[in-house]
Amino acid sequence: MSKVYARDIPLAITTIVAIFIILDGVLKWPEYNAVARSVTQAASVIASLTILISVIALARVHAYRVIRRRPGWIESSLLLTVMFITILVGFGYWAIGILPGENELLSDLYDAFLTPGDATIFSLLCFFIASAAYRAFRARNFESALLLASGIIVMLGRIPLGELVWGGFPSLAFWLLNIPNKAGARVIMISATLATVALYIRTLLGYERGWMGRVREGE
Amino acid sequence: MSEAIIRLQEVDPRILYLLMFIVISIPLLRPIGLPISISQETKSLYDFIEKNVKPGSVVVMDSDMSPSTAVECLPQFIAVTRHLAEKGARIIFIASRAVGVQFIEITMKEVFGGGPEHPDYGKKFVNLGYRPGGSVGLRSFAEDVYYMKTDVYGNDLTKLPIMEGVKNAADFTLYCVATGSAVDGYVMLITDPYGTPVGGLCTAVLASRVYPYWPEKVVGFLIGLRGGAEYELLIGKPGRAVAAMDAQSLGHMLIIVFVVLGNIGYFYSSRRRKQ
Amino acid sequence: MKETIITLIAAGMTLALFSYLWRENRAYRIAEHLYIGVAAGYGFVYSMDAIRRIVEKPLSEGRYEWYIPIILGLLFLFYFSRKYFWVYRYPMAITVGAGIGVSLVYMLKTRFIEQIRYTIVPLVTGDPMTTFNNIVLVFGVATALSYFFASAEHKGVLGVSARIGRYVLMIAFGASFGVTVMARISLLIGRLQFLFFTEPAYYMIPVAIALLAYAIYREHMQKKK
Repeated sequence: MSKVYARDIPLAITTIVAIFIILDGVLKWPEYNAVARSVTQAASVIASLTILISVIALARVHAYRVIRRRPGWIESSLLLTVMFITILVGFGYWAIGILPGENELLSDLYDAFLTPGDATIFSLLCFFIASAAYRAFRARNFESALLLASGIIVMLGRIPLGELVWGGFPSLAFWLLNIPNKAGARVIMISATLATVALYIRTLLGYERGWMGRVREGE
Repeated sequence: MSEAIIRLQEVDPRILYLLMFIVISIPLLRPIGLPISISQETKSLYDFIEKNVKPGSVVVMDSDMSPSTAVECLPQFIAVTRHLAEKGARIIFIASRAVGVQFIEITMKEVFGGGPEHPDYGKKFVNLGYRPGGSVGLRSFAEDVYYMKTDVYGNDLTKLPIMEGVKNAADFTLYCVATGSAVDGYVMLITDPYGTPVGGLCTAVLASRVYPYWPEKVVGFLIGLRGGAEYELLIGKPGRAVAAMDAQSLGHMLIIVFVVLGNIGYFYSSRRRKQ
Repeated sequence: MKETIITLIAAGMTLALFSYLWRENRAYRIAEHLYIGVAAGYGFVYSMDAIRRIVEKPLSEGRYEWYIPIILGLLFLFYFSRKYFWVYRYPMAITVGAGIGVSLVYMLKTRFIEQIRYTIVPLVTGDPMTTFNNIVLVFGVATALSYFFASAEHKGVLGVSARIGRYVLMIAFGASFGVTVMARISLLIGRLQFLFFTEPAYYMIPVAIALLAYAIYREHMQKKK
């Protein structure tokens, strides 16, 4: 009985919901389309509540570190503090009628911590690419030489300095991106789509159960 | 000489980081002013807006940006919004991620000089805020633009003049998305079902994956900071993106120098090993 | 005053994160944790606001069926239960099913059928450049596809075709690499534009240089010992 509730019914729900929404795309029946639209909107509400899992999981991991005084507990306590302050600021102002869109303090937290954090962590990649360009990008054979040559031509073609070096670089770079790259990208897209469709069908048939998370014995 | 080249392979990466920092900083502080040509992808988006966007046309500007992708996409977003505002379009701002909402606020301030307090808010532009649910949310929005019910400031969408005559994605003239992840979803859920073309304001990383859709589905797209600079020049309002192009040029040249030097060292050391 | 404090905090965060390039250190870890904390909280607040905007009006109109998606979404909390973990699969099933339903049909059309359709172009046209481009495009796609064909050994004609396909893919990856480098450099430019041109962020630069000089001196002294 528990296997039915724990495994079979969720699998059936996945298939039913998917087919219901797929049929909405192919059937032009106003009553059905209206119901399907509501179901899709409801699904978007359900999907956005997955953030509960991420916030609680993050809080659990770092709270454990703080309570057990594991290495990095000071940083974890700072993380928990700012996370709860941000949530408190957001909901606190909301409770007195100031929506998040108008919440200046929330906006200040975003400008002070989120923007520099996100932008700077990603900008570190620039330095790592410089290091990789010097230490790892080697033309060991014809194919890697082709890859490097194509990359260098595109790099030169996309900058004003490259255009000054030779006026043909922009056109050559454009041609590389628009024709061979288009061919390669198309092939990768077609292959990935076929694989994705296969994965979707396997999911609908119940063979792919990775989305179910932890699986107990017997399920 | 060959010894020196081989020993250069062992250089501390922090020296490479410092070189990169210096090479990027100098042209930012002392611009060179190199000329920038306009690429075909950028021109095709500009031409589409010039030909097809008329006063009252509804255009959606979707901010799928995060602070990291905003470096490239925000100048593009602002430049295209300026162009659309000049054409008299009705602009619906929406964000595909929560962190993208702030960039809509920045754009409204830059282009219109204000947000919800502006007299044209609700008539010429509106901010629908964050649209949750990923592709499911996009499909919901495309089917019914009122599914969010209110804008981000709590105003009822049905009472805003800008939304008059707008029911679903078929009523949009253009759907522009500033993104670093993918335009496939937008082509799949906006262009194919409703026939509304997509304009891509993409990070450079995404560029190679947008070409397969251009020009049939994606009418034009801007690639990275260079795309933003080109569009700023096309609308006659050079800004941050144009100012950054000299630094971009020197940065690229440095990477090319590193690749060449690294390969020279590699060939010397593999020849030494063979001997 | 408020703007000054925010800009100084942002500049401090930026330089603390850049300090990772010297070596991993506490300042970097603190900045990283502060960023993650604010990001999680911010995302949570805005997600809840978006849900409110969708359900508030229908609920106020008496359409109480809109409580169902909220209750179903709250079932995600069972993810943390050992005994009733399986309850979490119900809202997950709806999310997965909806995701598949929304994309399956159009994915096949946009990313498969149409991509093949747009590859079928005339191999002979009036313009020599267009003819050349079309030939390269069609044969590029055909040969690259043959590279992924795993049902037969890559020998003979298929072997040659697969090899050419590999070269086409290498050119595509190279072009991708070129634009990726462009993107990464842009990220650094953005941060430096903030540090150099935003008052009073640039006052943090000499502080950072002084700290870096001290770090270099300390490392040098330690090496000497």
